[in-house]
Amino acid sequence: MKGPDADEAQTALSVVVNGKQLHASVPDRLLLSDFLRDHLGLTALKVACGEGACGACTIVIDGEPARSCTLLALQTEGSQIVTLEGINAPQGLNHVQQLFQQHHALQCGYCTPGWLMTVYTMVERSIDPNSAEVGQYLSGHLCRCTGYRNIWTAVRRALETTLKTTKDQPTGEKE
Amino acid sequence: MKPARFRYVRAETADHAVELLHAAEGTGRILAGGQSLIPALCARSISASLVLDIMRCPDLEAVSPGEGEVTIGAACRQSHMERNSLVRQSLPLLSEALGWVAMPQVRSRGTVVGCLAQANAGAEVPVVSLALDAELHLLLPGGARRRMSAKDVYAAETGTLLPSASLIVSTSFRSRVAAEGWGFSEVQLRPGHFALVCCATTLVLDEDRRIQSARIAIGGLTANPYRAHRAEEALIGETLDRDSLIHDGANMASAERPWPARTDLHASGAFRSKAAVATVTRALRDARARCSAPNRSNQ
Repeated sequence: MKGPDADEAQTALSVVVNGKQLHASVPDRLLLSDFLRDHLGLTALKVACGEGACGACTIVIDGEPARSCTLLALQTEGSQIVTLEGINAPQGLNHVQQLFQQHHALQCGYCTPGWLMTVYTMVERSIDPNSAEVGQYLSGHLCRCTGYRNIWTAVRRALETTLKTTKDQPTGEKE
Repeated sequence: MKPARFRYVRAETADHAVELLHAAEGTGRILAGGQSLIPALCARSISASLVLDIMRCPDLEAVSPGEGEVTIGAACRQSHMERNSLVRQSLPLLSEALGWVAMPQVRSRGTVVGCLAQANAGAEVPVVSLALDAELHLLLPGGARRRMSAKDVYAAETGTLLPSASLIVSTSFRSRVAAEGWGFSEVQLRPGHFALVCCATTLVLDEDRRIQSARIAIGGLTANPYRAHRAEEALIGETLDRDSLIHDGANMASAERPWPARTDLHASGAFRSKAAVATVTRALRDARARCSAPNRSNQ
């Protein structure tokens, strides 16, 4: 990785990434996607359109899915960031990843990490699998291998199975 | 797709932001959610020497109820406002329209006030601001404060008439009055896209179920949104029981646009004009269904 030019403006950044508190000095114009991939080596997120349309770079910031390509790294000061690396199973695949595998909800896999982060927040929010909100969340991602049908199936299954779990163990309101 | 160099500064207060913006002599940019600004900086269609982040200013964070209005601070994010109970209750039209703004992954960062400042053609919040008689609270260099109505902000065909080096500190939207119906309708190419056309309406009925006041704002058809005052006036005193009245009102509202219908890659002006009629019709029907006349029990 090429370092920043000597006269490039830099600013201190404190942020929690996947549960780890980090302090860094980053170039003012550095995009969050580049900070996570190039500086921290968190390469699960992908950069495709670079303008917020495709969803491949989606991560979770303070409990909400967001594009990392349309944010400056410095905008996340004090935030909690979760990337796919933070929700991976210690070994093998996590529950949602298994469902994506079972339902053949991916082909090339380039867009998949983005989808998984959105589904992670949908599960956290206990989104009703039959609500219109599902379509709203999923419309934030493009898949060029035309895997939408299978992705919808996998996401619905993920929401159904996790809703059942929360019913078994009531945890109260989530916000 | 990387931005050219700039200096990033986190403003501490609204006054601090305006002071720095003024000192940058036209080369500074206010950064709120950044969902339009950062892509534009990346595409280098705009440039800045200074990017001023206002999201940590404690004086810009509040959502507060007032006399007949709700005031939303410049740092309030769209996703939060969409779910906010005060907004849902007092500004149901705004809450519904926010569900049409881009996707949840963008609304999580974008701000309500930023959408007003950005004034993209086909953006939803400026249209709602016209229907809800919004007032923008501005902070000017030197500390002067000024209120500017949304209709004055969008009085030109494109862009805003906001004074230079000013900051929109917050925006007040008119609260729903008792028994007022509202409707928001939009035509998009695909979910999450800007509106080809969209319409925000409110209706208040009198005791005889005749229309006492109507507001119709249309966006996307023209570069800036407009209020269809002639169509509104034509509806006053009418009962909306007949669908033909709604359709006539929608035709009138689409036809009275003050600027040419917009043609771009996605749709011709002729298509937008037709879609506008359908959009206004749907919005008025929704508003009618949500109206209740005072002193009567009918829905």
